[in-house]
Amino acid sequence: MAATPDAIAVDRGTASELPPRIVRSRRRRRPSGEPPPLPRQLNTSGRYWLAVALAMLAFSVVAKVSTSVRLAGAVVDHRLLDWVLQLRTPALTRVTHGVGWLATPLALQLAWWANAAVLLGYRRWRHLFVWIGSILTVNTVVRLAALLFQRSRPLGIEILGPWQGFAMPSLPMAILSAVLVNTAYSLVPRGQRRQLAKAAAAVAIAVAGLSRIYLGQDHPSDALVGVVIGVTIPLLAYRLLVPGDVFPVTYRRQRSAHLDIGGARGQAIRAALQEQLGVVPVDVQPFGWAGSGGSTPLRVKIKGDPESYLFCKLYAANHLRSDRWYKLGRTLLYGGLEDEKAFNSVRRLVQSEDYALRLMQAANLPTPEPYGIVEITPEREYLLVTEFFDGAREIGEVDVDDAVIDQGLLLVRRLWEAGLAHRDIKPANLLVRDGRMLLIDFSFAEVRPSPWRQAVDLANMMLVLALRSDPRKVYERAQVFFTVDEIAEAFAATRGLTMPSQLRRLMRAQGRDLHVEFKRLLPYQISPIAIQRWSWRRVLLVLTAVGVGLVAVLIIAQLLTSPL
Amino acid sequence: MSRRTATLGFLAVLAALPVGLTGCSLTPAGVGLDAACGHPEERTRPTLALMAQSVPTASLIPCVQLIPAGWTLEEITAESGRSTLVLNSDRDGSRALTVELTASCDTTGATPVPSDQAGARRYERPERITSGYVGRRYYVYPGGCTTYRFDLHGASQAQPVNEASLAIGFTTRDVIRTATLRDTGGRYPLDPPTANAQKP
Repeated sequence: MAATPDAIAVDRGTASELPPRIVRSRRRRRPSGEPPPLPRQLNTSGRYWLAVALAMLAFSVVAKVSTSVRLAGAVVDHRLLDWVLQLRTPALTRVTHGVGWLATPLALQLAWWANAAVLLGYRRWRHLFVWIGSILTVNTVVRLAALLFQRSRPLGIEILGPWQGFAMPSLPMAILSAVLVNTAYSLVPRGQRRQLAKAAAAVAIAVAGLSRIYLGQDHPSDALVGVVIGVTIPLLAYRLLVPGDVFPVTYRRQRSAHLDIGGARGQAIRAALQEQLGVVPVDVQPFGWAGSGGSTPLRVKIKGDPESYLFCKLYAANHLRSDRWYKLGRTLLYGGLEDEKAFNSVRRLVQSEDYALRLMQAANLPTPEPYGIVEITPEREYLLVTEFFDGAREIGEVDVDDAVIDQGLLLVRRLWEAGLAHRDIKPANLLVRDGRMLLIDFSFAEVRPSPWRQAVDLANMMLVLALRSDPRKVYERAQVFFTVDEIAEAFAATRGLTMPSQLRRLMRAQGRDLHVEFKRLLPYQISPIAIQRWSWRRVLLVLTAVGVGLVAVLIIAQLLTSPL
Repeated sequence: MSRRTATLGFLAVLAALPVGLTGCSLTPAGVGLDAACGHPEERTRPTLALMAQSVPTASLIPCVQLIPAGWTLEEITAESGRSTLVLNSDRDGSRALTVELTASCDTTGATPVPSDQAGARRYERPERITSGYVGRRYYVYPGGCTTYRFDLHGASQAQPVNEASLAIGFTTRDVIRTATLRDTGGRYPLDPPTANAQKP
């Protein structure tokens, strides 16, 4: 095997220095106590509804213990009831039966299914979970409150509609309100359309409430308390858990990994870059979203002469969860094949990638210069900032000549010698600029990887290089940097899922099985290396996963019934 | 409110959700529901008032008289048109007795027997008498009917039927009506002026 030349070292200035000629702004440290750029806010209406709910709770508790207060409340309720009952006519009764359908189990079930279909179709999981959670919470709170107050249905009047259980608070009104608020906040984009949706919801709630009072199913206060609970809980849930600035409702098809970078988040990104890195962002645009699934990659134009670019990866809690699910899935499928310990905070996830990037730099690999980490919201959102390879193109879009092949193979050789593995060698992560190969994306990088993983890196690199050239040529060049044993080991280690999905997809698109072609070129073959690792922990994990899956199926079946 | 606090609060509510999902996994007594027959002079029992509202014509309302040892009150429901009391037995299985109040019932095939309840006719319809007892008992009275559905899986038959019978009694609508009127300061009667509840 040849000695490792330093042919692909990248000429760069002092590490961690931003490019020259950019306009620098004054850095600013956020003082203690100042809220971060993207705090969760209840907003005015949220605070108003919360205050009303708390006031109602206080009155209800007083009414529960004080007979005179309870009687006074009943008097007001019955006066209102009597006034409404004076309006009863056969024709109006038929109409109220009709509009009362809004608060029936069938109507609410249809609304729930329609909501669920849209949210599933657009993969808005967060909205879906908040939808389900808030409805279940409203249901539980109302049922518990009904048991606490034990109020009978309106006394001394003929009840014309169906009812169930105690009257206070009104469960149908609470669920109807919750369904409509959920619909407005999970399906309708912010702005005028949502305002219209809220107005329509208010009309529907008022009509249904009046109908139930008219039919004698609820006292006015039962309906009112039900509405307050049904509005307040989902409203607070959306404001705190799915704020519109951070998780806007849009109908553009996009991966759930890609966060919206407009609105408040866009402003927060600009302000954070300016305050923490001292650069002046001119424009923030999505970049390379087609090949990315674990973060939100961005290209940021920086003010200067000339203007230059930074590459940023936005990481948030959803990426942390994706990482956890990915590692859990791998553990279930393969066992403890590699380090499958999940990160426990977004901060550590970003720190890990930044550290890997700096190790790559120290190993003199052709990787982007790291410029540090920018905090958008503590523990929730961070931006990893690096050099942007302006003018570079994906390797799948350029001609791959001998020089590029050598650089790719040498890159793997240097990774091996530095005790590193990239673990995601695919066309989207290999760029070429002016005939030089560049390596990006170190979210999966690992220090002191297993020999199996190093072998997989080599095989994947050879497969990528062969996509735009010829397997025989790649194999011949590979023998300059690796022994035949090492190449044979690489193809024994690599198969199926160990290849990145983009690489598999491109090979399928070409109608070629490059893996088989490479194996034919080898003078001998090694038996495929088993990647299954069995342990008691894995067995228990699989059994637990099956159990949880069965419970999930039961819960889903239960959830598909009417929310009422 | 910090995000951690909000998240913990939300998770705490989610943890309580099984209670909501199952309707009411706690016993009625555990959540303060009281359907005891009690003394006429005692305060209104909201559960009985609600049961009375569910069948506005019923002159008698079933109530819990004395729960024998080994029996527990599992569930009370009241909705327009019907109310139920469900009892479990540690020897005869869960939902061993379901008592249902409705405005009317079909006693076809049931045999009339002497009634132990004043003002009500009693009918019995055994369905299975091996390995326990499955059958129905009807109390028919003006404006209403109470059906006992026995589903006993113990070895003996007579004893659990007698125990279950002892557990359930009746209170008159008048008693509930009077108590309700008294508790609302004489303002609001249980039934509307036109209600057609009949004397037993």
